[in-house]
Amino acid sequence: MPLVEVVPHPGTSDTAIAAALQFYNSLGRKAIHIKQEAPGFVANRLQAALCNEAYSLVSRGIISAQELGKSRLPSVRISMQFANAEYLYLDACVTTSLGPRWAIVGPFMANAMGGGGGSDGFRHLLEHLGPATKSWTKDMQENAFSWSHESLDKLTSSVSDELAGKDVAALEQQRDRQLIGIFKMKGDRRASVSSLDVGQL
Amino acid sequence: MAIKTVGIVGTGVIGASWTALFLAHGLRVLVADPGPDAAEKLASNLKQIWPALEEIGLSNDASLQNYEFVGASLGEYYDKVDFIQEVCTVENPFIRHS
Repeated sequence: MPLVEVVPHPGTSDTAIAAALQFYNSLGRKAIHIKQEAPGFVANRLQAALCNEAYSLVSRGIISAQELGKSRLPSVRISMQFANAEYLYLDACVTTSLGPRWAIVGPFMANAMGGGGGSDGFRHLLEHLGPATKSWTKDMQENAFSWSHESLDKLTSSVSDELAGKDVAALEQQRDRQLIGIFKMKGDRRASVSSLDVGQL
Repeated sequence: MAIKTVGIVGTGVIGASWTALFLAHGLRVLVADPGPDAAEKLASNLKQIWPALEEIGLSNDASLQNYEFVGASLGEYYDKVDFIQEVCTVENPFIRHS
């Protein structure tokens, strides 16, 4: 993953920050200066926000972690046309919508485009969808995933059941190949792909 | 100052990925990790990651052999490296900031 978050502490010199940014950029990374340290930095926080809601949705039974194609509804079995790695319904909700979009434009640009583009697009979208989003956010906060042993056991066992017998190592290789394809298509020639998850650093 | 040699502390999955990336860009890497079998695990992870980096494109001077596992600590090698990257949690007791 190309992203490198460069997070100085208050005493770090501008020279050191510039040197770190320059060094990582010279390696084909996308080095981004984070002005103030926040727990988890930025990419991890964004990931945590989305994942927490995913855990909540599955725990509440709103969407199943059930494998695609196992459905009792015949028409749903057609969903096996999804790519191999998209075993789980919840995952497919990301990989077939937000995932590919966000690989090309981030949430701010996507909002601006969704609001009709132009310099007013972002504001227009927020004014238009803001009130609805506010009620969704309230609902999400009220039903936030609770990190208890019980809820964790329930969630992890349902996901483990679905992954039993799957060749996750092979899926990882497929993921890496496809990610390289995406980065190449985007022109990030030096983008490195491995098990490295930027957010974990 | 040009950065030609990088020191890495921590050779888990992420540390190995960074090691491979630096090597792919023709840098020399000195690696330290106090964990059991760290050197063997690193070698095995590097071997696994390298084909992906080859596919993306290596620098002319890139070499998978251009690293040295120096043991549990990087402490004796600070004058040999131009840049240090810690790839472990800040709570790691093996990091000594002096």
